[in-house]
Order: sequence, then C-alpha cells, then structure tokens
Amino acid sequence: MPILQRHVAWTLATLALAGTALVAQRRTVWDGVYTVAEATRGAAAYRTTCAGCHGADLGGDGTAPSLVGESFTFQWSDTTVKALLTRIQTAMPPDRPNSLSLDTYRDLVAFLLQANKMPPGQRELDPTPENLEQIAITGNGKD
Amino acid sequence: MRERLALLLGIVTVSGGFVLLAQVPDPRPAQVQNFRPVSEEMLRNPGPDDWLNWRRTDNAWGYSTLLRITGDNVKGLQLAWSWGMSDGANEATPLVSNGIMYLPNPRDVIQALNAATGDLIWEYRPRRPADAAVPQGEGGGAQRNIALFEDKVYAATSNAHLIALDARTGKTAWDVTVADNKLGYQYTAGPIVVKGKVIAGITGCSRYKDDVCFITGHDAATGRELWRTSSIARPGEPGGDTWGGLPLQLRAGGDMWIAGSYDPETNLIYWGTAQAKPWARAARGTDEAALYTSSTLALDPDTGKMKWFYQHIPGETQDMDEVFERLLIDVEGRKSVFTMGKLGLLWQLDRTTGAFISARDIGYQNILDVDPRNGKVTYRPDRIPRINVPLDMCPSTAGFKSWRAMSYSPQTSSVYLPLNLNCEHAVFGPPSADKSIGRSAQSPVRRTNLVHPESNGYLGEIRGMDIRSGKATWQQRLPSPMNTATLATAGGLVFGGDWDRYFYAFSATTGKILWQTRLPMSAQGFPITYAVKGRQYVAVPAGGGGASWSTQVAPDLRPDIRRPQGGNSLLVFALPE
Repeated sequence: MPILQRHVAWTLATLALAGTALVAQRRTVWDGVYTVAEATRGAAAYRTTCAGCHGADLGGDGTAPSLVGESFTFQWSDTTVKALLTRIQTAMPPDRPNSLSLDTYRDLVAFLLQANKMPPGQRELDPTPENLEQIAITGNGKD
Repeated sequence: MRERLALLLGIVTVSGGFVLLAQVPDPRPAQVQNFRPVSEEMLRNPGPDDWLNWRRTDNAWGYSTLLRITGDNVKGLQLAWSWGMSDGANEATPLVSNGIMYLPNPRDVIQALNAATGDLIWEYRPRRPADAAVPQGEGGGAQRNIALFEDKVYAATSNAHLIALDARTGKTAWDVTVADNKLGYQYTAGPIVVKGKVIAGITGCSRYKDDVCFITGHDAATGRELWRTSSIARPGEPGGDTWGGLPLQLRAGGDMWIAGSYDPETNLIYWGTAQAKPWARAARGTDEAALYTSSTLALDPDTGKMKWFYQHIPGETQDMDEVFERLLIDVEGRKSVFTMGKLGLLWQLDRTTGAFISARDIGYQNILDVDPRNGKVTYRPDRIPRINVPLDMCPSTAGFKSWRAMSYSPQTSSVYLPLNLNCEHAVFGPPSADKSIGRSAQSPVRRTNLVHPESNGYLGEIRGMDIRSGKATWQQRLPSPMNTATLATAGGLVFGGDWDRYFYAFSATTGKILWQTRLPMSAQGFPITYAVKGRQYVAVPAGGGGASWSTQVAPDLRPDIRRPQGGNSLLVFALPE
C-alpha cells in the first residue's frame, strides 16, 4: 500500500474510532437514561407539586403548557436533559421556584421522559447536572 | 338579639331551687359583636373607611376618598401589622367592612382579621376529599377577589364552585357546583354582587369540550343559578358564524378571568372576555373574528341578557388579552367605559351604546394599528404568527399590562398604569393533531424573553395618563416590573409595588417617589386603603406566582435581582398613632 493511501486509511480509521467514542458518550433520551424507580418517585412529586397547573394528565391548562406529545416535542426537541432540568428547577413551581431538592427535580425529569414514552434503563440519571448536557432530547429514537 | 342575650347571661342553677344570674363575657371579638351587615346601598356608595368591592367602587376606579395620609406626611408610614398567607399564586384583594378585613388567600382559603391589629377572627379552609380530582388551579389557585353582601362573604373557587360564608363565623352558608372542574373549569376571579345577585365569570377554557366559558348570576340567599350567558357564540346563534365553521367543541377560550364593573344608571354590568384558543389563528384553524372573544360585554344583571358587545381585536392571534378591569368614567359629559389590555391600548367606549370613542396607544407595541376614527384593527405586515416561523413581537405574551389593575383619580383625571416593558422572540408551534374532548386547546410556543428596545434596560414603569388626551402626565421607570395594581387616593397619592420587593407612594401629580419600603417578597396583588377608628391604613399583598410576568420575565431578564424562593404575606402600613 503506497504511503499516501496508508496514511489516508489510518486517518479514516482514527476518525471512525473517535466518532464511535463520541456517539457512545453523547446519548439521547431514547437510550434508557433513567430508571422506573426514578419515574415512579417523579410521578408522586408531579401529582402534589405540578398537577394543579399542568393537569393530572400533563395536558396543560391556561398558561401552563402541555408536557406531553407534540407540545413536549416542539418545546424540547434539539435541547438537552440538562436544559429541561434547569428550566424546571429555576422556574417551577411558579410560586416557589427552586424549592424542591435536586433529587426531586431529577425524578420529575425522569417522569416527564417516561410520560413521553422514552424508555427506562438500568442506570439512574447522572447526579451531576453538567453531565446531563450530554443527553440530547430528540423527537424519536432514530435521531 | 336573643342569641346575644343567651351569650351575655349564664344561668347557674343551685341546688335548693335558687337560680342565679351571672354575667359571662361574650367570647366573640368586638368586631363580630358589633357586626354590621353590608346593604345594597352600602355596596353602591361605600363609606370612606371601607373597601367593600374589588376595586372599592362599582366603577372600578381603585380610588379612595381617604385623605389622612397625604404627600406631606406619607414619609411617616410604618408597618402596623402583617400576616402570613397560604402558598400559591398570590394576587389577592383584601376587603374591609366596619373594622373587619376579609382576606382571600391562594387555593380558596379565606380569613377574617381585625383590620386594626391583624388578629384572626375566623378562617375558612376548604376540605377536599383525598381522592378528589386535582383542582385545576391555574398559576397555583389565584383568588383575586371575593365579595360581601348582607351577612355573607362570597367566593368563587379553584374547583368551579361558588360559595357563601357567614361573615361572622366563616361557616359555609351554601356551596354550589357551577361547572365540572374535571373539564378544566375553574375560577381565579371572584364575584361581584348586584341587587341580591352574585355574578361571576368562569375561566379554564383551555381544553376542548362540548361547552364554552360563561358568566352566571345566582341568588345571593341560596346560590341558585338564575341566568347563564356564554362568552362564545355557538353555532346557529347570533355571531355564531364568526368561527369559520368550527364546531362548538373547537371554540375554546373566551375566559372571563377578571371581575367586572356595574353602573346603576345604565343598569348594566361590564365584563371583559379573553382571547380565543389556540392563541394563533394558524393553530386555531380560522382567521375569523371568533365572537365574543377579546370583547367588552354589557349585560343586564337581572337576566344576563347582552345589551351590547364591542370586540376590541377581532381574530386576536397572539394571546394579547383585552380581558382586564373596566373603569366607568364620565368624560366631558360622555358616559364612558375604559379598559387596557396587554398591548397597552387605552380603549374608550360609550358605555350606554358600546360605540367606539378612542384607543390611545402608550407607544410600546409593534403588532397592530387602530384606526382612530372607528377602532378598526389592522395587523402590521408579518405580525400574524405562522407555524414554525420565528416572530419578534412587543410585548411578550406577558403583556405591558395584565391583571394588575390601573386606578383612576378624579382629582387629576388620570389613570395610573402598572407596566412591564418586555418583548418576545416567539415560535408558534403546530396545533395538536388530537382535538378530541378533554385535549389541550393550547398549541405550544417556544419563547425567549427580550428587553424592550426603548426601555433602557428597565423592566418596570408606572405612568400617569390623562384620560382626555391620552398623553402621559408622568412616567417613572423601575428596574423590575411593576407587580401590583395601583391604588389612587384623595391624599394626592398613588401606591404600587414592584417585583424587586419595593412598595412605593408616588405623587399623583408628578410621579415623584415620596415614600418607599421593602417587603419580604415581591409586592403582588391589589393594594387597598381603609380606616378604623380614624386611623388610615394601607395594605399590600406580597408573594409569588402571578403568571409569566412575575415568574419568567424578571428572572430571565434581570437574573442579578434576586428574591426569596417564596412566601406569601399581607403587610399593613399606617402613620404613628
């Protein structure tokens, strides 16, 4: 194999490996990024803290948007789980933002992912909010 | 009288047949012992010491004739007492009658307090079964106002009931279900009482249903519903052909989430209606006017019959509410009704006929123009939202003006506007494909809050506006949004507070800040003034919730201004005794 061709082949192989590593690191909400236990705790917190405005069925009401289906996809596609967590934590509930524990806010995120049919997995949501930047919210499992 | 005698006299029986009479002190607070019912005449012409109606008088001026606190002595105001309130969206208006304050808290809690000391007389706290549907309390169960008549307190609840409480004890006199809360129906505004009828407008029409929003009149003695008038024109009814042929189920919105006004001379009540839903025409599925949304309705309080309506913005398409308070003011002999919506247009209509008189623009909006000759609205190019097409608009959906009511002083012929200067980068999303009953009629909007280009970074403004010319008599800019209704007094003062926890007294003629103090949480709600035994008090609610104006605009645009996580309260100020 001529030197140039070998060099190109090596470069391509390196890029492919790097790409694989990148894909492995950057996940989406369709990769099982929360547990059923988290979502179950989140459902209980939602009922007491959020349902009064967003509705028991998450369907929204008045100025409180729907948190499921097309509305959720439109609002949150192409963002990250960290963005969703940060929004809920800094703005909700409206009369008392940032008043729940970080664990509870994370459980609520897990519940929202479950309510939008994103599958649970074996590992809990990363406890470090910054690492949630690496989990993309996408419209379906293939993006 | 018999009841009082029984309380005053205890009969002690002694063995041997002797009967002694012993005086036992009446355990009830003096305010209850001296309870004074509120008559029809008092509601129509309240005494200077009382605050008996939502905006004190039927004309919704938010103006008090008390003048013990003036520009000369206002600097001496001190905290007289304060009171912690229930959690939730605090947008309260206290009422005061003969030394008793009736305080609506979020989530349907009501207290009676000694208005001079803050001592609790009674508390009403609703009991809901554990398995009840979650109340659809928009924004946390805001309860903006309650009403008084005779010996009862009337309230409209977050689960779509109207209730009457005994004003002496807080015990429930009657409780009627007006609409099904499971369909989304709820109240955030309370009733007014006119000629023995309790009248309230309902909200919660954000979901598709086989019915619409409405206003009802009830017998004050029993709660029995006497009439019901829809805020949406149904198919086949007058105005029903203004919805592009949409079936009843898709005619959402028209919420009546602010209490109305009453004119005994015309014998009409004046009520605002909110916009149609979904907000954007493109998501709603019709470009047509959508009656009777975004309108002023003039109704007969005895029958609910519509005498006239005026639609301010036909086919409104950006959530620019025109639902707020209706001020009844005679201007140069012309009986007028004034209102201002989110766009900052001060509308003046003839309140006898509903004819358009004027629409004065405070000058910050960039969405539409109003023909000064006839009130016809024309949207500016590219300001009608298209699905998935970014749109920059001023104001944001929070509005320059919102539920925070303006006040009017006859001394200055000016209204006092509490304003929030803001814009929005918006992307309106598609409507839900599923339009079945119970589904949301709200299409999503991706929203980025922006500082208004003419605000110099200030988010708040209070403005005096001459109602004859529409010109600003003064403007006072504030770093954070104005966050209360304004209160005008015969002492030449205007009171109001902001998101950054300041509560101010302004000169009504110059706007100069004559006094200010700091509250534990954002000033939020409807300040009032009243007097007990010759001492004048000024009361202001503080707290959280309050919709996006308070929960998003200020936190997004001024993150350097911090406030506590929550905490609702009422603070009452007075001059030293």
